[in-house]
Amino acid sequence: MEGGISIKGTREGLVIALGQGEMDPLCDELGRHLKQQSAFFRGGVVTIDAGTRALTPEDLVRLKELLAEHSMVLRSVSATDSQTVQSAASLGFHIAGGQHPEEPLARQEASRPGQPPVTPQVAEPAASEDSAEAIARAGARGLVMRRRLRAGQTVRHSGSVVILGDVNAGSEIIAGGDIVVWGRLRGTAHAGCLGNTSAVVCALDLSPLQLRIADIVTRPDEGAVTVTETYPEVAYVRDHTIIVERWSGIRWRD
Amino acid sequence: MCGITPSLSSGGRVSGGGTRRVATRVITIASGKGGVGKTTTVANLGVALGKLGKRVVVIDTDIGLRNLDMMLGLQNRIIYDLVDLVEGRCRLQQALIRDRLLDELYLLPAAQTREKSAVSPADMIRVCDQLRGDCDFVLVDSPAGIDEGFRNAVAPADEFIVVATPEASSVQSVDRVLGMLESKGPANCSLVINRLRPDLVRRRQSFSPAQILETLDIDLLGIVPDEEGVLVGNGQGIPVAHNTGSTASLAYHNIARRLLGEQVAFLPLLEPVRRRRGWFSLFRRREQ
Repeated sequence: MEGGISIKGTREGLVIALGQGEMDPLCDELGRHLKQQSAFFRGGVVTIDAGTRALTPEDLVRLKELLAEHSMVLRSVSATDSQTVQSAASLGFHIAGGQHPEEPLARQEASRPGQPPVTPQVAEPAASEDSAEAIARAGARGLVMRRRLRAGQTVRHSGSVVILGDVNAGSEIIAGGDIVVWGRLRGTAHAGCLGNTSAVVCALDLSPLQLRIADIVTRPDEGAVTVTETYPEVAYVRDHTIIVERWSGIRWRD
Repeated sequence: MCGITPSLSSGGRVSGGGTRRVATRVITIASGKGGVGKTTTVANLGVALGKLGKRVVVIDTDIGLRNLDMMLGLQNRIIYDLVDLVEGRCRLQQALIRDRLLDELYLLPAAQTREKSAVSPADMIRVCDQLRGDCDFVLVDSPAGIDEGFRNAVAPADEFIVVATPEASSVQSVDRVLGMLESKGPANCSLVINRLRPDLVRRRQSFSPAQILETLDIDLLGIVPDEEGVLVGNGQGIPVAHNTGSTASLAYHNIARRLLGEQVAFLPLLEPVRRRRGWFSLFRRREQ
């Protein structure tokens, strides 16, 4: 791990702490982080925690553009240095003193206009310095939603996601941990999105458009005939391949 | 100039502080995807409600690509349009065009030469507020898409009718629209399935109504079969709902009656589906 940058998920969005060091290497490092885990960060609302650093408006614009390249929105700056605060104010960012943003940051409505406020719920601090497995194993609190996900809607969460309801074609679930759908899974599901290959996806009717676990992608057979009978299934990774099998009291491998 | 009834022209309009004669229902018809029959639905529901003695105003919000006027055969009577109205070049009653065949059906046409940005959601709310109290229904025809024109059309609505054809692309775009409509809380949405081909459904080459409802999970308002009379009517500027001999026409009239709260059985377009809770309950599932 490279020292400078730390990224945490909070209920309000992502907090990126810059740490110490020159801006150039910091930006490079941040860029690498965002690229590695782009699925998780995409669409996120970000607070930059500048700590005691003095940032110019140009620095902030550079960060904003870097985040925008990865489809993230810089909404707020947290700083103790007066120059940084002034820079942030001049650019119209929310200003949060101390370590946490004081104002609740806009949730998904702000980050993606036109979508319902479901998404970037990141319930548990998910420090990216920790390995992906660590986050999943820590049993990051699950997100349980009792609703139908419609086309165009996204649920993103650093822990596991449980949906009580159908997940329609055109919607997506991106989870750091497992994905459980008590209903029909017809959208796109990405479990273990931070790299955890032990994550699983299960559903009462597992017929997603596309399924991803960690960095492995699969899709259903295109020639498959319409299935009349449906039954619960689970998808997991073995030998770098996603296996889908009928749920019949699965034995967890250690 | 087209005729305007005295009550509409002198009208006790809400915005003018007049007394509200009737409770007006503003219904926006949307689908996301284009070409599924939004405008046809608006024209035919306008006619069907008009024939039931209701006073109806249909509004075309597809600025730049208007065509509701053509389906009603009113294209040669347009003098002022929606953009003229919101920009203050005419009064409401000057922009409303009375139908050729029904005295209580009016069209507020879209502008042909401008763009969607010529009208804002606030403008649409203002226009519909002017109509409230004076007519029973305002049917707002949304343009295709989910951007600016859609937001204009949705802004004034009390309720929504979404139109889907039995195709995955149409169902998914309606699903997207429903997600957007519900994003600010529960929305009163019901579904019209348009251009159903019973033969294809029986051969399992097309979605069945039950499959569409399984995905969309909203109340079914009606099913309109695919029928050439609909196209012919659109071409002649006489919506099929004027034609008493047609199944599609009957479907539109049934939809109009269901809108008025009547319990009307669904047309036997398909073999009846066996259901635990009876036929009708299939379409009246409890809200989640």
